[in-house]
Amino acid sequence: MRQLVSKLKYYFKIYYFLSRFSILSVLIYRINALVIGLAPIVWLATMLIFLATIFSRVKQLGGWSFWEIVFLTGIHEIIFLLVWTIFAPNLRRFIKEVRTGEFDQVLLKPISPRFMASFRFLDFSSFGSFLNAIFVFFYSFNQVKHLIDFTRLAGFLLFLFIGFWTAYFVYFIFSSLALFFINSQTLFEWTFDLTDFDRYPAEIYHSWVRVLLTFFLPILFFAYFPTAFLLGKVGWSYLSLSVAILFVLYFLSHYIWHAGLRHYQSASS
Amino acid sequence: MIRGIITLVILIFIWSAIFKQTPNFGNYTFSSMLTYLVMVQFLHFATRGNIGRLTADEIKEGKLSIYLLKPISYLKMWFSSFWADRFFEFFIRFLIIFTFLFLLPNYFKLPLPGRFFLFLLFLVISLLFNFLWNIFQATFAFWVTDIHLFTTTLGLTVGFLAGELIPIDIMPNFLKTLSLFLPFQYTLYFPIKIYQGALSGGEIVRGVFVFLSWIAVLYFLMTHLWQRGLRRYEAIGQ
Repeated sequence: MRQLVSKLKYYFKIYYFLSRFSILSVLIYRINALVIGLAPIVWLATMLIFLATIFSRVKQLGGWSFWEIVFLTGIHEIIFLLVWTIFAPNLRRFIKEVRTGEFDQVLLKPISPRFMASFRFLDFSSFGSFLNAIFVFFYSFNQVKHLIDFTRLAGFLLFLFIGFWTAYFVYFIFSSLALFFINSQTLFEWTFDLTDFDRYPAEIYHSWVRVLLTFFLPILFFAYFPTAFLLGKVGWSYLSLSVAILFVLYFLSHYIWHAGLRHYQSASS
Repeated sequence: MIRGIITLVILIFIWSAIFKQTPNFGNYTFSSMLTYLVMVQFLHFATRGNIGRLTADEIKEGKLSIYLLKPISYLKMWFSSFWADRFFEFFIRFLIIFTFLFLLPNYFKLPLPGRFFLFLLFLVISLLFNFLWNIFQATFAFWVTDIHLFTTTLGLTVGFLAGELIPIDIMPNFLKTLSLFLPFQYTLYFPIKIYQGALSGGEIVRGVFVFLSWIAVLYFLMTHLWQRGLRRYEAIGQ
């Protein structure tokens, strides 16, 4: 137990220094850091206009009202900004390092290579867009709060936590494939593109798409199921299912990572 | 290619859910909306190009100097490269159209040969605009260190105003007026309307003249900015 605590302290200390370094590197270009939030603002605005246009002629989409979908968008954005801040750029960089052979340097360090591949830098460049996402979240929350079952709030927060880690394991598994195929960049990017399915109510998709995105590539657990749970559209059983899927993904990622490391052949170094 | 298809599939699901509630959305039936969406994806990838970013990178990294010392015109070189590149993309992206013709023959149809020929002719002008627009964006790299963020933001705005997400005729009134005034509609919305046979001969001729006028304005602006940028260029890092 004492050994585990000391190991955790060691990794928290390293993470603290890595975070400090990441913040300083963003602050070098302050103006750039401020402008970075502009593209997501435009994206969000076009998205809201798109939804408003649709809802000017229909009352619901897959049984979801306009504000319910905006609320889903807000949650999806928050989850994905965390994904892009905490691990996505690191995984993208890891894939590149495997291809160029630079990953050797990571393997020689006295630290878990998985930790380094996943959490080496915090990318604060998308910090500006957090404000839009949080604004959308709270504004839409205000509009849908009468539909929210507050006894589910704790379950919802747990669901969000699980959603974030589900996203981590899914993307980590796809980036680990680089250890087998040398270049899994395109596959990794496709997986990210597929997350667009999580922005809209899954009720509008064909049943086989829903099955695929729930059990095989569990993208719907990132934001759709947590939001649907809070709005009372799905039951507690989905929370249990999310825990089960998280465990499966954890073991799968562990297995693929270690098999990948055994398979890894340094390129050009 | 896959990215475009994923977006397209999601949009088809959304519109399919909408058309289950109403037979018409504005002037659109499910079939005409599906045709619109497929053609947006086709045009987006076949006509846009990213030479703006490539040129901006060369300005930023100082690689432009290499070309300035050679007895060739830098812009004419990119002009040739743009057309060759788009010609290749055009045939590759045609697969999208063939796929939908094969999968959904009742909803997605090719127009009459005459209309299709007009559509192709209009694309030539549209490509000319896209080339100038790419270089116009790149000229900002003479003043700003990195234009990637700027072009992403501009790309999202321009795409929306061109009718990429929603056809212009069903946009909210203010945006509809703005989009119909700006030239971006001629890169997506207008050619698709020609393809769908929704425009009369007079409307097409008027559109061609207005678009050519915009191209002349853009050409003037682009060459002016390019010349001013070249005077300012410092070849950093070389």
